[in-house]
Amino acid sequence: MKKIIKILIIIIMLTSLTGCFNYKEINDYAIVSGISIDKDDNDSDKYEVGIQIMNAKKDEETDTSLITFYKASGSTIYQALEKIMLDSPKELYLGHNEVLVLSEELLKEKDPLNYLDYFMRDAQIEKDALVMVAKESKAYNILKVITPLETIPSTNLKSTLNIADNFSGTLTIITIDKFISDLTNKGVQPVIPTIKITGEVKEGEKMDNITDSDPAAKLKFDALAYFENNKLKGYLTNDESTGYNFLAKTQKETYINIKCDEKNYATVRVKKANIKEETSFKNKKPTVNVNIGIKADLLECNCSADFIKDNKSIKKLEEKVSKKVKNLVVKASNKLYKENSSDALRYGEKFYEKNYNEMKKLGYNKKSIIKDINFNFKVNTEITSTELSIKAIKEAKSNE
Amino acid sequence: MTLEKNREKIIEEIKKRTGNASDVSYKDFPIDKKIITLVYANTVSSASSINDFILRRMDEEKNHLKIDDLFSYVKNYIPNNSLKEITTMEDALYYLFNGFTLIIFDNESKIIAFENKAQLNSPIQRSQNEQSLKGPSDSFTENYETNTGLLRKRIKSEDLWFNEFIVGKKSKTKVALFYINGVCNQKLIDNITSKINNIDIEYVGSTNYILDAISNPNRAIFPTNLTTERPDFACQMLLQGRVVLMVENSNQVIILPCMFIDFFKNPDDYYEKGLNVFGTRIVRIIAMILAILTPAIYISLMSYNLESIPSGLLINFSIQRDGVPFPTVFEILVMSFMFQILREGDMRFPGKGGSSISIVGGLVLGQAAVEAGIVSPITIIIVGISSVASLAFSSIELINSIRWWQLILIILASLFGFVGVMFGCIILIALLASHKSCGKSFLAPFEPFNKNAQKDAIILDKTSKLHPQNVYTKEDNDEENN
Repeated sequence: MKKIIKILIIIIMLTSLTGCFNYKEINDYAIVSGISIDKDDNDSDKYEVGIQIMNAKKDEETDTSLITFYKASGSTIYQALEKIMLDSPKELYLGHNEVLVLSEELLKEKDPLNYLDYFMRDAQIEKDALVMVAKESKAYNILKVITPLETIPSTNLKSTLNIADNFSGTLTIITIDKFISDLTNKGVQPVIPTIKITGEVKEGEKMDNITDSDPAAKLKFDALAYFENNKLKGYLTNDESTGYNFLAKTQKETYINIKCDEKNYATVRVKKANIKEETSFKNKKPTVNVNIGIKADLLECNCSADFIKDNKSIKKLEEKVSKKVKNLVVKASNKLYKENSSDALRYGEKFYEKNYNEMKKLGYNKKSIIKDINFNFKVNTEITSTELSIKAIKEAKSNE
Repeated sequence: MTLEKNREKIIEEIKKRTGNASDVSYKDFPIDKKIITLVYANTVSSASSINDFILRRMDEEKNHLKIDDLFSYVKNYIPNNSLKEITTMEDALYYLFNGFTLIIFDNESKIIAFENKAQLNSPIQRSQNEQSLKGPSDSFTENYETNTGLLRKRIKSEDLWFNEFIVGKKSKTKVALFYINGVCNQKLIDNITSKINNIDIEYVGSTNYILDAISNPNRAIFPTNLTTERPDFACQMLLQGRVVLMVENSNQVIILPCMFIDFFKNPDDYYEKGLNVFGTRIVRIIAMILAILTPAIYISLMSYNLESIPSGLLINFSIQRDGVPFPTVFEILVMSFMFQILREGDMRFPGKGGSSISIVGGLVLGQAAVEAGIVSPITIIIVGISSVASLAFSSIELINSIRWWQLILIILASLFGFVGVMFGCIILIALLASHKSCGKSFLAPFEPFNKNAQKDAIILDKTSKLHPQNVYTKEDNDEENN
């Protein structure tokens, strides 16, 4: 009995007199959902860090949470965060950060490895957050815009990007850890999506923005941005982005428009793309042979065609799709490898792995080989389904 | 103590021993020159049956009774289905208070006892605690003979054997050990028999007294025996090679040995399709896991492991907790304590008062507490889930042990987060695995694994229902006694 009393006293003392390791209630935290990093305009050595907090307070009417925005500048990211913490009544919780928005200006001037160390070092911070670059505006403005479908801007950005990644060929997602590992890998350059605000930035900050049926400010994803020497070099066009996604094998579902007669267009959905690459030295020149096998569905066909009677019409469409895709990948490879030297597709690394001896013999290294790579593309398309109808509606009319 | 050869001395002794109890009647019946005395306790014996079958008969037979050998005449010619010849004072008193009429003769050291028991029992009723949808709905009563009859009625084979014991120094309660001869393992029967023989208690109130007396001090809180009031379930268990302990004056029987998986079985399972039974057993297992773990996991998520909550949910939690001044543990403990009080009140409150308690408790307390900002709505949901899930079981012992483990895990979660919960689960599983029920491993048939016994574990195979086999207590998987 005495023993039990002793143990009880110890347990009571343990629970009441000591703190619990790591114990923190959920409402002691301010949950950060987005971080933006800008260059400080007053002091070029400092960074301006903006954070978006998603559980600021409860909207009594709709029972949803309202966001709030803090901004501070510091020589390191943590210094800026610490300044914010002094202002905010709650401790910042970075474990649920969803997006990291970097400004165009900063990326063009400074290697991100100079300021992203905190994101890899801190144990609590989310390493799966999506990285994007803010085009034509300050990065923190992106976090301020309230959008109607999803009241929390960061969640909005994340889900929009996820949807876009699945259903259009132009965008791709990249997380903080992938971004940093691409940057640290010599020769490989990352590619990140860009985001911009259309409309009035000032209007977007107000709650009125979500009550209008056509909001004054909207967030819009643009095509991809590419890097050279760890600095932002420029932007790919939509076509080049699609081509990049084919070559990087990151495309999921891509829609391709082709001209099927003089005036009208048809759309196919690429379900699956089988990409085979071969690196070799042909006539002492580095050559990449890429075979792209596409399986696609016909989604829309505005030209007259009967796929049962005339089996050539589907062949024609297939050839046109192949030509179009080839055009896209040629554009992308030219932009990245001929006009610039941004090895976003890791060909330098692939040569290094597979053709190391020849590469050394000819005096190339991972970086210098990039400019000399010759690309040969071969695209083969197969339209496997024409969905519900076996001929175009135009054809049906002409038959009557 | 043997009886003396003197009628008056015997009567005196009875009076002395019973403290001259007022319900013991002594009736002298003169025959010729001799006198015989009828002794009976009128509270437990039926007066009309004494009148009709003993007194009237003796009156009619007066002339024949004038012979010398009165004792053997009474023994042979008074009709009664249950006649006992008694030679000791202890037996005499036992039968006296069991509703027998003692007949004491002059110059005879034996007493004859006729049964004239009064019916002090409730009739066979529908099962209250284990209700049946499809199966027979009769349940055991407080009458020992009726209960035995309910078993015999179902298993008419001569192989339904039982050993009878008398337990309790004051209560002298009958305890019977039922088993199927040839199916049940003899070692198990010997083991339980010796345990019952060694019981040294004063009074047996219900089956629970026997359980407490024969079970070892229980380290973990999970029960290692099954009680049921359904005779059909008891028969099913008998056929699986288990023994059934029946206690006089108790409407429940004990089934031994009992495995952990048996708590997930319901008597009605045997009247339903195997596939559906599989479904409901899975539901019960999930209910058990939910009941034990939900509050603990909720606490560790809210206080330590925020990163494991999806962000959408995290915002909801955070908004709902906004303005609640207490830690999550406190909220959970308060709300579960309130629920336990409600449950206790609901169970003990007589008659129809129960529903008003649940209205006041459930609606007013829950709603008002949320609106007053003392607890967050999500806490109410969590406590609700775990409480409702714990009510999926009919065994009150099991519900109690679930409550204990809920509490233990809540405390561990509040101190150490997920690590504490995992630690608690490991301890729980270790304790379950170390449990023994009558020398059989508690986690059987999963540990040790028994392929044959899987047919009536989580799944219920038709063959195990139609041709029950002794898979639990067979000799080859017998272990040392605990």
